[in-house]
Amino acid sequence: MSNYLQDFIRAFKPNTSVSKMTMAIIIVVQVIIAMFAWYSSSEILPRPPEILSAFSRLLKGGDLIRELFTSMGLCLQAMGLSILISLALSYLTVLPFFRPTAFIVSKGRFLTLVGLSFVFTLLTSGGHSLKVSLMVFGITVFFVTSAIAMIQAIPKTEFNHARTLGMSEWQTVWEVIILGRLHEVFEIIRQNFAISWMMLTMVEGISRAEGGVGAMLLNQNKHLHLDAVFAIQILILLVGIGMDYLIGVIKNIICPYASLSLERR
Amino acid sequence: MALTHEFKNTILKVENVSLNLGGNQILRDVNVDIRDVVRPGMSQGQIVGFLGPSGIGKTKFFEILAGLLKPDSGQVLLGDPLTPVKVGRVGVVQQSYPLFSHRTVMGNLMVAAARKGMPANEQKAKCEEMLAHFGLQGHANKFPAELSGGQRQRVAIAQQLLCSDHFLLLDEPFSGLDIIMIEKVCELLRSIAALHEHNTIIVVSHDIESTASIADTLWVMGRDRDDKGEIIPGSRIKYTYNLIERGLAWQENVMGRRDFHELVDEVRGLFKTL
Repeated sequence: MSNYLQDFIRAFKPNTSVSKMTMAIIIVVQVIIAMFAWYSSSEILPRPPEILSAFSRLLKGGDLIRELFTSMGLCLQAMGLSILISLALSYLTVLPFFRPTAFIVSKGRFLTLVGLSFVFTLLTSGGHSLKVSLMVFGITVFFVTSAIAMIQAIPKTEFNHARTLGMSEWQTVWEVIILGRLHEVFEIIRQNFAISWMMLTMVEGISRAEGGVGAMLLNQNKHLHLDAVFAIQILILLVGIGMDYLIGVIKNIICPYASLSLERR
Repeated sequence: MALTHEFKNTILKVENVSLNLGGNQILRDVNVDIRDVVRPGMSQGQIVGFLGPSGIGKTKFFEILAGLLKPDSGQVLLGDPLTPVKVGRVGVVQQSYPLFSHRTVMGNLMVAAARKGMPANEQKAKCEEMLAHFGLQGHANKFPAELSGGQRQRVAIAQQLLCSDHFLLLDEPFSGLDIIMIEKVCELLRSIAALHEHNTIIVVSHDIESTASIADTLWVMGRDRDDKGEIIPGSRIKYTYNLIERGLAWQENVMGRRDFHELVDEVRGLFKTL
């Protein structure tokens, strides 16, 4: 018992870790506090049983799973394209010629998607391509910013190390930037997946032709079905967390070295 | 007592090297001449030490010797015959022992072996030979993050030896190591020097005692002072010590000798004026 208490006290000391059991207890306590806060809040907010009931209703008659797959397909397509464009653009910053382009793209993150939706509507041929274009733009500007920062933070000693082994500058780029920072690229993908998942509902609201959870969410919102809105939001949250975890697992498989020197693994 | 030896051809020559960075004169007319030392009946490479207090420009000089930095004037020539240094020709072990963190120890060595242009079937055998020589057999599949500082240093040295051309340049190889580890590093460097007649190990350090214990020549870097005692910017080679002539090179337990400590005290005294 005293061991648990000591372990629990350690949870309030900086840069320490606690046992899995203590962490599980802490999580349970925090969930209880959150549920209590939820139940004691305004009655306008739906309670968990109502949300569960709405979730069941959406599953049975509302095509929730089909809409979820539509959204995931859109998100993965946009992510795939964004990763290709962003990495190509970021890696090309090793060439001075491409630096201005990359930096301008990076500054595009201060633009709003809503303001650009009309331009993209004119440039694209249909609802799906409009949504993909908006998503790719929205992700790329953030992805390029993070990837450029990652490349710029590589210390000179790492480049010199590759050069002292007789590597050409392109081989140095391959070894130090592309292979050497692959684990950081996975982290950037994780962050940007969260951004894309957040943008998804907004983009699906701009063009509702194909449906998706975003369109579904807006429809439920319009009819003030707050229990259904919460059910969809929780589903979006859980799928997002699941995808984030999956990217982390893939990262650990491909880059097992990445977490070896971390204090908190 | 000086052992029988002979100085042959110059194998590394630094000619009037000067460096100015951001308006600050770092190096001024640095001249060095390192010659092949031959000892009858044995394979004897060279170990030379460049000493100087912190902030004197040793690391910049190190980068110039490695071909990583181009001086404003002057040049570095090496080999037999002498040709201008190019990056990749000199094995370079930087102070932080950088390795490719995404590759295992074996992977790091294989990259270096491939760079040397070895046939594919020879690469693995050569790397395994290196692992055995450096006592790293059990660590072949580990990543650099799993190694201790000393192991990391040995891998970095092995990697550079695999692809360099008999020249190995080390920046502060004794920095941050305990006394036991320093002795091991000294032993390792002596053994590398003895591997091949043309092996030349250049140690750039502020650790007088450790460097002097393995070197056959010491070059002390420092800045001049004007008539008023003010420092004249730009380091150059101020003193040279031939440890072979002093009977202090290639000696077992040299650190226990009185004349060795007198030499160390003498250089330490110089440091205060540099």
